[in-house]
Amino acid sequence: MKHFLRISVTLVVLAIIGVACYFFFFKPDSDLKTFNSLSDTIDYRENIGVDAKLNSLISADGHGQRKVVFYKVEKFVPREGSTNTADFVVGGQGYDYVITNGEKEIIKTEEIDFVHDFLDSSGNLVSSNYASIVDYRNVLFTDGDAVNWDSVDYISGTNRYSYMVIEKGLDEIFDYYFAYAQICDGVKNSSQKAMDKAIKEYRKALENFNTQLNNVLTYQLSYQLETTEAAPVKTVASVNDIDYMTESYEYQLDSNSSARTELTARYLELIKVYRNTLLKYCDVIDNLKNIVVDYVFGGELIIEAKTVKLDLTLEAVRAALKTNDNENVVSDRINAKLDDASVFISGQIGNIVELNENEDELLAKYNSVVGNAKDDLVSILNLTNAEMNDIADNSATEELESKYNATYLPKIVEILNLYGFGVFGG
Amino acid sequence: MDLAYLEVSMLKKIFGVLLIPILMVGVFAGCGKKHTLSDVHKLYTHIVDKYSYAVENNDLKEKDSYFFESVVNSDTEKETTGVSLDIEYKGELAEFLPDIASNSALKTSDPKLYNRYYALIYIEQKLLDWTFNYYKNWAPNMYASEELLKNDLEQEDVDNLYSKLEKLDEAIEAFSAEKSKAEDEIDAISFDGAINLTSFTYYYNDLIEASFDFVNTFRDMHVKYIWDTYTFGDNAEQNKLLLNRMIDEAYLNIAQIIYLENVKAFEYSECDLNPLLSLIDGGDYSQIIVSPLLTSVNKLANGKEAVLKNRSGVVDFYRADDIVLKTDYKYDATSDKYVAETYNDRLVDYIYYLKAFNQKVGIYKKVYSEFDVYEYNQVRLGFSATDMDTYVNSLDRVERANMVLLQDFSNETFANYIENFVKIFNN
Repeated sequence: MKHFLRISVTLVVLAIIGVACYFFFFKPDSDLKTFNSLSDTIDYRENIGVDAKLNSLISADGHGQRKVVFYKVEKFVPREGSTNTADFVVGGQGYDYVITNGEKEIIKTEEIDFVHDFLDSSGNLVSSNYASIVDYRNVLFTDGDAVNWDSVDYISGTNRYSYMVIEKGLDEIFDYYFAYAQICDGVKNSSQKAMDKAIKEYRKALENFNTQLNNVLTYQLSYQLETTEAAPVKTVASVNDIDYMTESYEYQLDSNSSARTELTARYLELIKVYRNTLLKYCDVIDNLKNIVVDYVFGGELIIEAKTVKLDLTLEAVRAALKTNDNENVVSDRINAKLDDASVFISGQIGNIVELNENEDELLAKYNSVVGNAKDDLVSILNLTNAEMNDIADNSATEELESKYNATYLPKIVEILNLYGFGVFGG
Repeated sequence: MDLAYLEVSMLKKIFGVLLIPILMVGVFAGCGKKHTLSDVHKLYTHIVDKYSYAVENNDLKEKDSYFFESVVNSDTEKETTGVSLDIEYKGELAEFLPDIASNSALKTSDPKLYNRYYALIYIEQKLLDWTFNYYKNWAPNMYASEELLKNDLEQEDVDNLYSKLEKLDEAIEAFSAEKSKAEDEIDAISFDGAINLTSFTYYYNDLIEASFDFVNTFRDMHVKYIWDTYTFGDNAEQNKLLLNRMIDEAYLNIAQIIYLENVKAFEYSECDLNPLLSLIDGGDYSQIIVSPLLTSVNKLANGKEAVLKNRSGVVDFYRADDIVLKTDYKYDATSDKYVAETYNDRLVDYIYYLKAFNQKVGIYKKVYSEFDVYEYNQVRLGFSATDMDTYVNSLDRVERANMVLLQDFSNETFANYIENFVKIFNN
């Protein structure tokens, strides 16, 4: 009994000391659950290689572009049996051309690939049938800031951003908040569960995206093989009767409409899948941002110009991706809404700024500031046009007014302060 | 065998074994002496006396060390003691340093040597000036309020402040020894670049950090117990006081970040070479190190008289008189109207960015202590053979995240903070 008691007491004391030591020395200062789960997601995305495959797709041929080949002509050989002095043969094929400098023979060909996107030798769009794939490819991954669609009749509108560019923008937002994720403290299970759910859906979307990327790539490559194995359709685009003859090669899109249709369909499906992936990515970022705001900044992150910009990108991207319009992004509706928001805020100025004798001056200053900064009026995107009108007319319902005062008004004040407008209270 | 007796006996032994550590914990917990604000004040005065030199009728009364300047008024014979840490030097070093900014002979003959001392003595002293400025202006307010606050002051806060002051005293002591060594060495082998200032700068940095520690703690208490509930209102005098406190606090805040970004970042305590000095020797110091540092502080100049004045007694801190508050309206004869000054708007902006600064500065300091800032700055400033892309790719996820956090604070939050502090003074 004595021994048993002694051992028991010793164990209890050791346990107490052990627990105390743990809390004093070893308990981590921050909670790495969120950080680790997101790190795993980054690894997953890198491992399945969607980014690398996208880049392959960018450079892959066989999607209907026209290749123009230049041959340097040294000698024309008269066609056998022909009495037409203008009838000559090149490489065993028959061509009609005009000879002005005597006999020339092809002794060497120098292929100069001159790729036009569905343009004929005169630079005109060959057929609107080809346009879809080009259209879709541009939606997917045109590099740089924007695709200018003005020259293309069938898709109207202002500049657009490709999905790849959008994804880079989302990456920037993700990287910013991800950095703070490693110092989160005490993330509640409910928050982590929401995060995990968003991650799970994003990974599933990535998997689908990967599958569809493979579908497009393999079909496109096999399609390309198909066209190069068969005899290309040759048309004489022009004859330079001094030194060169040009031949124009087309991949057999005109004669293989089913392949073209199939490839077009696969591209369209890829767009839908990519869009879904980006939407799920937005959800991940949203959850991440919520966790950072709650568990790093105690529920209130003081916004600065950078975070406003990041917030805007997220909101605008999400709104644009959800549009039921054609596959263009950053739609005109968003731009129009931003214009409305700017006008709306300008109309609210009298209610929220302590004005003095220089009211006109202040308003003018506001308009110039907001005109430049309208892209940052992110929170106002949440108000509908009708709601904005009601508030401006002082005809808002009690519920709307309460919502406005609690949620949007503080945000407007913050943003005005951000741009040095100067608002007391609000 | 009497089991009951055995159990009681065992329990007594158990209790005896457990009692000792419990008692020890109790003793240690209550062991420290309790201090008052007056104790803090007395200790500070004692430190000042220990390290002051006195000027009587323009004659310098030499002491072993020179820190806080005290001045005796020749008419009243009343001695006024300075309260800011103000490092002075002896011997040959002292001959060259009083106005190093305009020491053209030194600059011409050996620009690298000039830059070395400029960085160490001029810039680091400036950091101390900006730090102790807060204490100098607000200590009287704090100490005078002790009676009013006696029921509110938490013992832990006061003891903590006292402890920080004790550490400052130790840091001054250690630095003083190193300074004397450096001065003796310079006197022995004359004033040239062969002097090894590694130890000197290491202890100087320690001293600066102990100063930050103490004044920060003092500021936190000052705000917590006196100023936290004050806001701008209709009382012009109170507005002015409030604004002056905010300005002094801004200098304190800015000094710490400038130190971490530009001075501490290059400390390498385990190494014999002080990289700050080796960077100075190795390259165009003024462009790479001084320039960003001075850009930060020169932003405070605003086209008015520069904040970075020499230390010959010219006032170099802005005060509330430089700012017109919203409650002040100026009559404009041309329009026959009272026109509100617009500085109030900028003040509101500053308050906003101060909140952002306060929100992130704790994170910045924590991350700073965990990240290899030295290597990062080597790459960033082009002293390393590694380019930035390669460096970033070599970091693991946590390190990369830390770097992003540091950059976010430095390039965004702190930059906004300084910019909006400066704007308050723009005419």
